[in-house]
Amino acid sequence: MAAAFELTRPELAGRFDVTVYQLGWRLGGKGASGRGAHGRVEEHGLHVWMGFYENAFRLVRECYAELGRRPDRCPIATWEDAFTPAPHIGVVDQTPGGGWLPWTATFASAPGNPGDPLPDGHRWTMATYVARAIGLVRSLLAHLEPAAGAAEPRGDGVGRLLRMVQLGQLTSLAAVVQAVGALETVLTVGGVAEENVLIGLLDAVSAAARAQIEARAAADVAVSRVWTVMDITLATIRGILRFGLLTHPLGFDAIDDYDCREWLLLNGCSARSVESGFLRGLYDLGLSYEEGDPTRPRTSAGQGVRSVLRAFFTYRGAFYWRMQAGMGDVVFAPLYEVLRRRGVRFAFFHRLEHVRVAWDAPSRHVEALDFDVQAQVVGAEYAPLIEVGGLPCWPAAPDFAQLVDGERLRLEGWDFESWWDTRRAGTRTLRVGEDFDLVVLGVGLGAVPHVCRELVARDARWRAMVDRVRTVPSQAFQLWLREDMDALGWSGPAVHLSGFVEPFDTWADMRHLVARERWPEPPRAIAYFCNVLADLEPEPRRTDPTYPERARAAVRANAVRFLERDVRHLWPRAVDAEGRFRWELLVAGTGTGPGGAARFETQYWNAAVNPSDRYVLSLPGTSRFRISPLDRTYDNLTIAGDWTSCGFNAGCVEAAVMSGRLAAHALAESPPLEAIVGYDHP
Amino acid sequence: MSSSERITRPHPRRSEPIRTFRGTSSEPPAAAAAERPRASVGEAVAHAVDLGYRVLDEYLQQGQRAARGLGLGPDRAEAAVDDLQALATRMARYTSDFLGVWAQFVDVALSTGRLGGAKRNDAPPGPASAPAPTPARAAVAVRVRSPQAAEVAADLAADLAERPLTVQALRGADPTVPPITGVRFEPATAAQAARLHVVVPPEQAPGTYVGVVVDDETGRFAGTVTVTVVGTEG
Repeated sequence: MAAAFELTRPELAGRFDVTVYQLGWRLGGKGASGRGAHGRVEEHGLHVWMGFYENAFRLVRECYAELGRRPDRCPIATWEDAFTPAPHIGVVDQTPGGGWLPWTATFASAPGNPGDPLPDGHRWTMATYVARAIGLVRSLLAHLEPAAGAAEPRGDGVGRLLRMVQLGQLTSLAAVVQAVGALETVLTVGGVAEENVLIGLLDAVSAAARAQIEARAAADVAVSRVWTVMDITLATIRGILRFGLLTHPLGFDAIDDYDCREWLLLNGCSARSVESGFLRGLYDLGLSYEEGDPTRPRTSAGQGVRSVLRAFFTYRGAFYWRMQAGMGDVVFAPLYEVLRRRGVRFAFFHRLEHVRVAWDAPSRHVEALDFDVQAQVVGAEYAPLIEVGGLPCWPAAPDFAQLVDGERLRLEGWDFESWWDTRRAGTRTLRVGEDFDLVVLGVGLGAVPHVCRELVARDARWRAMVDRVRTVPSQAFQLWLREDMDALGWSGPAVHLSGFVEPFDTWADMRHLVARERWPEPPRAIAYFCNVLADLEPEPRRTDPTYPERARAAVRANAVRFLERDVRHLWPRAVDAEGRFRWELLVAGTGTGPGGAARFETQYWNAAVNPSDRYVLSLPGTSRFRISPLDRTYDNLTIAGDWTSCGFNAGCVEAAVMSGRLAAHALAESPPLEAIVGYDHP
Repeated sequence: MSSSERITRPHPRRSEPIRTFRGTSSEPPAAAAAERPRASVGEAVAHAVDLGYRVLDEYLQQGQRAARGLGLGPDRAEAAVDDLQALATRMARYTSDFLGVWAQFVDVALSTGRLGGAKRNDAPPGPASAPAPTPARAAVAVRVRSPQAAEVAADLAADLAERPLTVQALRGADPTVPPITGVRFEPATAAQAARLHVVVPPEQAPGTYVGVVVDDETGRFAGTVTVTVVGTEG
């Protein structure tokens, strides 16, 4: 979508005639959502955006500006209506007794908003990040109360000493790091002694801080948590210096081969901090578990550190931004409307089956695209959107009335989004020079081995990419509840919390969506849970139509077990006196609904097992196997998605938008690479 | 259908992000280099330190925001300020340690002559408002002999283009993969720009290889060369 948006900008004066071929009835891929019964939002996972998603926010803001919705006619007319700050985040620590202790925090707003123009000459440097990290450590130190009994009477020198604390040693170190960045350009290659001096200094500070704080941390949970953050931050700074990242031409990619936790341990971080809820929560946010196994946390240190530094030190407005409806409603419906106005055609119900390549050097190119046409549309064009409360939305199911023989398809249960449902109404082949000139391949990485099987078989780089850059399924469920969070025992603000117990380590309080849905008796709370999911089989066969339903059954069992066993740690009053989950809390819609665990059937859950829906991991040592949208091996093909080498190699909407903008640049040389925020970045 | 009859993609200016420590700018690198004045080493150091001081407030605020975000509300902050003397005493000791190390750092650099024309008064000055200039980059003609598609990026300071330079072996991220050793620098003369000759062996594994450029006479760091081997059909 980002590529289509860029290629059809008015500034390009109609250079590109764009058609989007889309599986099923809705746009959005992993970010799609649909409206189900009572207009309830059904989506997969936590679709919150982070405050550093500059490219994604810029896209959405431009889209809403061009859309020009009237506030008196549409409840979400502007990007400010669509996204609101969500500064409350949380992680959960396990206590020695086996319990779970949430730690919530509120991040103050930062100047500006994501997507605002950046100041002239804006740049990110490694030294800047080190300085900011040191600033964080200094600030945390200054906020810690001194040990009991350590205080002395205030004297005349207090003001001077206070200033020394505020602008003293560690802050001065920030300046020194800036200087070191310049000095490195003129020192000899073997001049590691100077860097060692800095590391020595850092170690001295770390040791001093550790001695001052660790004893207190054992007895004070708040101090312990602050020390965890400081410990991780100091290890990161030490690692940046020790690994020569201040001057390394590869930036953080130079440490791509290390797992993030392993790299922190190498740089002096304590095992306790590495096992903390804080760090576990960061892994959870990226579903960073190899093969979906919660006991195998792994993520590239390069991308991990880059992500954390961007998240903590470059966010604008709020740390998180929360969508005020489903992601499909807030992002993809407006994009669809704007692109339609620009003349983009949408061919729904087209399942890509094969990308055919002409291999004759020197002009390798895509010569044909084979599609299954899943259903024929009655009339000229499928109208995909519905209105819920005045807002254009995607439905959770296709409108069979718009399909030829639609009632039969509905009764036979055709699932247009299942890779395992291969039924079709026909086939279609697009040929280069006749039906298309240029191709933007926007499927998920999990689908590439299937639709690009010829490419993968013959091109070693594509083969290496699909072999090394791995994907995992994910699982999610949503609850609509009869009691509000206070009544359930969660007294804090609406929060996004991770680092919790498996199988669902991440929870989002989505109470704000109640107003967007259309219940006869509105629920009092809405909760989303999600996590990674292990494959039921290593390579599920497409000929096994039971696979997706078996995966859904596994998610359902996980969810029921989680509610019966674990949710009490977050919502202590969601269980009765005997400690059993109160199933009657679940809103069943119309009627009384079933009792006991069977009532879970009235809620929403999903297993994202379709190849294209699988989540891409940033495993150590894999970044170099990603292929860039700028790669021109095939002279009429580019690729788009968060699985490409796009400068920010992580599974998220920001990476997807950056990649889409790079794909547009590959075809149109627009936007300029320098306008893709964060592409050029350590 | 031949490529001459088809619409094809333009050739990209580059296919990798710039990740060098100098950071990035919203303006094209070439334009940035052309517009910025050259700076001596001493000036570069001084300005870098100036910049460090100039942005301290911003960093402080960002750090404080993050600290507040981690659950340290204003109440705790005020309590901490009330009792800061003990903490300040500890910090004073750290400051003393730090200054000693900083002095050692500058001494080492100066005694080895690695700061070139920099003088001792190039040590951190007071706050200033001028931003750090970026040294101009050299114009280098690149000649590549490679049976595989390859991209070459050279990052050399302009004032070193006429110097005898050695490009060290270009190494990839995987230590088991042999480095690229066939890289040679030909200094600029009055008649021609500096040239970089790159030979990529046929069997070189796809990947990114980075090597450091050193001034043969002074041993000074002169820049980097990056070669990305794109690979061929498998």
